[in-house]
Amino acid sequence: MPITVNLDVMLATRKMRSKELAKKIGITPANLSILKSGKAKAIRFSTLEAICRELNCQPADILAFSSDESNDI
Amino acid sequence: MLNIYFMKKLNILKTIVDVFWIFSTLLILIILLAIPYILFVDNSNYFDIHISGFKIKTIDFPTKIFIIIQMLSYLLLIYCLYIFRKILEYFVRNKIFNELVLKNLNKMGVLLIICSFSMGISSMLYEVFYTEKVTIALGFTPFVLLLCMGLFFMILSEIFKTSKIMKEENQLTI
Repeated sequence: MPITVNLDVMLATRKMRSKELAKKIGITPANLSILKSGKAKAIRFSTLEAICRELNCQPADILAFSSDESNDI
Repeated sequence: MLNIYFMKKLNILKTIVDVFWIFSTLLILIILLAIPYILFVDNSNYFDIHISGFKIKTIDFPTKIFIIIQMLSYLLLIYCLYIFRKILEYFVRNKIFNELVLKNLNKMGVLLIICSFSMGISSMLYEVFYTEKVTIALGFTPFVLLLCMGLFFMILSEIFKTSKIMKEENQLTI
């Protein structure tokens, strides 16, 4: 998928553990793991809002778009 | 999670299908014994049966083939009942969007369509050659009904496939 989730990078820079974030934003660690691994199909605005609030960042810091090189040619 | 009203209806349906299935197993035995009897025993004098609304008195080779096609179609119908029973078992175990349910629904649809054609065409040919009359009847004949049911189950399988994808998407929405 061209959308990548940089949640692990943000967690590392904030020195926060996944479990802690999951508890703060009110989702299960399993669901946070799905989000981190990029297996998630969609993200709710409420979840994104909670993550941004807790990590004190912008949605663009968490989500990034990377186009395939093969598509550009 | 299935609600209690759904489970009640499902249990009633499963009980009816189970009872019907038990009686059908007897029918399987009768059909399996009757096929070799019809094929190999000379029974042209004392045969008097009704199949698909036709009174069969004289037994020649084409009539034997007609009877056997009808009996094999009944066996297929009983197999469809068995598949339906399996689908209901999955529903009771709360595995509604299981891959096997989708496959079985589609298989059931295909089998019902085969049944409708084998029964419908053989009956039509028998009517044309033996009663020497062609009638067109409007309404719910077994041929049309089985064909509609077959197509309905195939459509249901596709709907379940779409629902399964939607369910997975919903589960992967964080």
